[in-house]
Amino acid sequence: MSLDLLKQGWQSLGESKVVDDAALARILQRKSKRPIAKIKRNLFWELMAVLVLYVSFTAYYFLSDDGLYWTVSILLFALGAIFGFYYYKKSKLLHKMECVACEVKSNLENQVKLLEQYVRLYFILGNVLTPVAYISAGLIAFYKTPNHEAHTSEVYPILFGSAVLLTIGVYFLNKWYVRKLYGQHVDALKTLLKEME
Amino acid sequence: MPPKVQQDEIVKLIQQHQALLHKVCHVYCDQEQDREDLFQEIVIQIWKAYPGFRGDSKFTTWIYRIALNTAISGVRKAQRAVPIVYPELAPANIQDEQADKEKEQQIQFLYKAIEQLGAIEKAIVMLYLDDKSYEEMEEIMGINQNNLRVKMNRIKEKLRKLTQEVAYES
Repeated sequence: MSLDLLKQGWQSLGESKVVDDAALARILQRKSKRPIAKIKRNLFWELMAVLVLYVSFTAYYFLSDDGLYWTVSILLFALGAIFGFYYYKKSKLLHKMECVACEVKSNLENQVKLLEQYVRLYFILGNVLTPVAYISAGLIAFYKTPNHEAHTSEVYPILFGSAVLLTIGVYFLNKWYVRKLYGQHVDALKTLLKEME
Repeated sequence: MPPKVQQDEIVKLIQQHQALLHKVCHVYCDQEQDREDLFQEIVIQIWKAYPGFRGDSKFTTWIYRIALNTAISGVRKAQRAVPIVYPELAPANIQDEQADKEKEQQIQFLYKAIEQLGAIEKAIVMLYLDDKSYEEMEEIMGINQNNLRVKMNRIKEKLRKLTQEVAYES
């Protein structure tokens, strides 16, 4: 049976359904449900959570014990700034990712490329920043403790050992989380691209 | 986001082309709710992209790109295995002509077969049915014309087999 048989009916398809001006205007006020729009919203809430945590801890260490741990607050502030840069990079990648008015193929290629860069950035920085923050905070807290020299041999193995365990845990957690958030979407886009070859 | 004054202009343009958007929604979604969601999503994307439209391509080409990009790379529910009936897809004049029931049935089989195609194949079939030239198809899809011709022939062959299967099953 020929596909051309459908052409006549195809031209009139969709004409029976009319969405009026008022309904269209209401649609324009809604939020997008596209995956990238959702990722942008997730990123915003992640940034908010990190900001609240870092600002609270920075203020706490700055003010507690008559400012004994002020260096910890400076370190946390510096780490917060690195996180801020990290979110800025991610946000920039996400904005470049959407080109709905581009050719379908180049839009898909662009999405796959940038989404992979985004996931790599997320994974690498997520894995590096957590143990760095943990060890730095641990070391500063330790050096601020009175008579800390006497406990060096006990504290170092515990601090570094726990950092290794934390890193391993964070590595697998990140791997699972990144896969859950973006993995399936990247795979779906790659399958579509393959279909276009 | 474009300024408020552009809203009326965009609404007017969408009104003129909404049949095209409904066709995309019909091809990519088998449930009314999903079709409405996709329609809304496409409208939102047109609204967001409109300030970037410089008239380098025809407006229908531009709108087709947005509609297909939204439908193809957006999250869509998995297709159901249960065949869906499309009474509204058959053209009115054919529905009215009771004498040509066999033809009407064949059209239904063909629509069911199209439903089983991949997302990219569906897009190519849609453009073909809309009488787009291979040059326009290339502008929309970004696939070169020779490749499109080969794909179209393969799709026709695939549809022929799928239609037979659908007819046999029913």
